[in-house]
Amino acid sequence: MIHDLATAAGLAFFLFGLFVFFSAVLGLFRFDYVLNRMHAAAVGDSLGIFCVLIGLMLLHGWSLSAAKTLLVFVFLWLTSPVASHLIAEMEVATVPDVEKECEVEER
Amino acid sequence: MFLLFFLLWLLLSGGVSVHTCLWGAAVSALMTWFCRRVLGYEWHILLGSPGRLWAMVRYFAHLLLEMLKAGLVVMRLIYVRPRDIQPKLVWFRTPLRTDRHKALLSDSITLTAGTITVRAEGGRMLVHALDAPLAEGIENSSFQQRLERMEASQWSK
Repeated sequence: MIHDLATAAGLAFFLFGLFVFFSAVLGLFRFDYVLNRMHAAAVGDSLGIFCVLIGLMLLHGWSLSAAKTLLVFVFLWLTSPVASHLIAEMEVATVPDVEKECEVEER
Repeated sequence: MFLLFFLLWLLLSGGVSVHTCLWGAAVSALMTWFCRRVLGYEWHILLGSPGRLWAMVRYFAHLLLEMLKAGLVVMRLIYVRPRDIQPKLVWFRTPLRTDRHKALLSDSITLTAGTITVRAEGGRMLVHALDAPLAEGIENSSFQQRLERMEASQWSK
């Protein structure tokens, strides 16, 4: 009974994660500027990865591979903000008229 | 830190036997020594007392929740109105003093979908937000309040 429930929940998480990745790719095409597109990719990076990996863990049950999946979380979420920060910094540093694309505000 | 390396070793080797435990202990001891002496890591700042450890755990649970919420918000933006968003670049000043906490803050901002830290110079940060409401209150976010409290407890010791 509990095993069936875990399988159902895992499948639900997994399918929702796939849907999130689908929306992330759709967002890549729907937004129209580099910095905006990066946000769409970030959705897949945080919510999508979370749902897919949690789904996998529920489908597999608690085992060594589930613990390794947690390790995958740690490394993905350590590296992805650094990478996206570098891309964003390059974009802002090399585009001379970034004010045209979005308003700049000082606080 | 020794314990952390040892657990990682056991996880990667995939089994507990005398052989793996002995090799794991040797390698973890070597790695601990290397990190302390050569790389200069000091873990007691981060994980010194149970209270601080608990604060870190609570912070990361909060971060996870915020990440998931922000992901849903941006997903809605993708489907509902991808053309009339108002992206924004916001310069703001952070009161955090140590580099470690500033890095944690900017990583948290970047991990939550919809906001990306573009630049950090001294005490100022440049954040790109996908839509104007996402940028509201960025200079006094919940991450920042929590980090300030954590930093204050560190200075008082």
